Amino acid sequence: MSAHQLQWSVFMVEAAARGRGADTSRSPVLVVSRESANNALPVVTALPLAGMKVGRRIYPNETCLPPESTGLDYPAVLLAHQIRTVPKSSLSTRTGSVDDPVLRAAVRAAVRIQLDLDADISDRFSMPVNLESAV
Amino acid sequence: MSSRRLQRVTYSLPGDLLDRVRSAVKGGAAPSYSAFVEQALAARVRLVDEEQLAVAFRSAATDPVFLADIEHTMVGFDGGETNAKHEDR
Repeated sequence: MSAHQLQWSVFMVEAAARGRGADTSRSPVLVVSRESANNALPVVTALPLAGMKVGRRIYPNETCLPPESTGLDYPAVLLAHQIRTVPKSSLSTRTGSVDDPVLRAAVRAAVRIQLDLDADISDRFSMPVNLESAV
Repeated sequence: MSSRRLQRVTYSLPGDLLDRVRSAVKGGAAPSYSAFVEQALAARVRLVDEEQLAVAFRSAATDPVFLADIEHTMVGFDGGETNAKHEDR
């Protein structure tokens, strides 16, 4: 594995295409899991990237990433709705890194929308749960 | 980006509604009038946001380019089993 940090790096992932012979497909992903978890665990959380097509609409759980960040030779759409857990051993070529804070914010926003991670106002006012009484 | 900086604002509300708000707060529905109003507005804003997202996602569900990206991704990662999974449901 490279000395680069995994989080915010774009890798090609090798995945065996079951049911279609012994093919191995290579797909680009952006690793988004936090680095302490990436260092400790055998897996990372990754968001697949698709090539931007002409006229492609970008939905709230997606964002665009330019070739300068991804290292791919085409503009990409980040698919937060296709979040994956992948073994670190399946990460092959590191093609790029999303370092721009604006792009990182856009990625986080897409993930927050997909996973409904925005803090809800009711969370701030909710009564504390008595765990002992719940047992 | 969220901000917890509080701002004082002025709105006009019907008197009977204000009476019900006071009654609700006295009954323990919220720690203060401001908190009660904040909760109510936040809930309404969330509903508006959710409806906008739902419109976008319903559009995505019939967008052939979007669906092709899903299919391509799932074939790449899961081995082309997406159609079978759909038919099972």
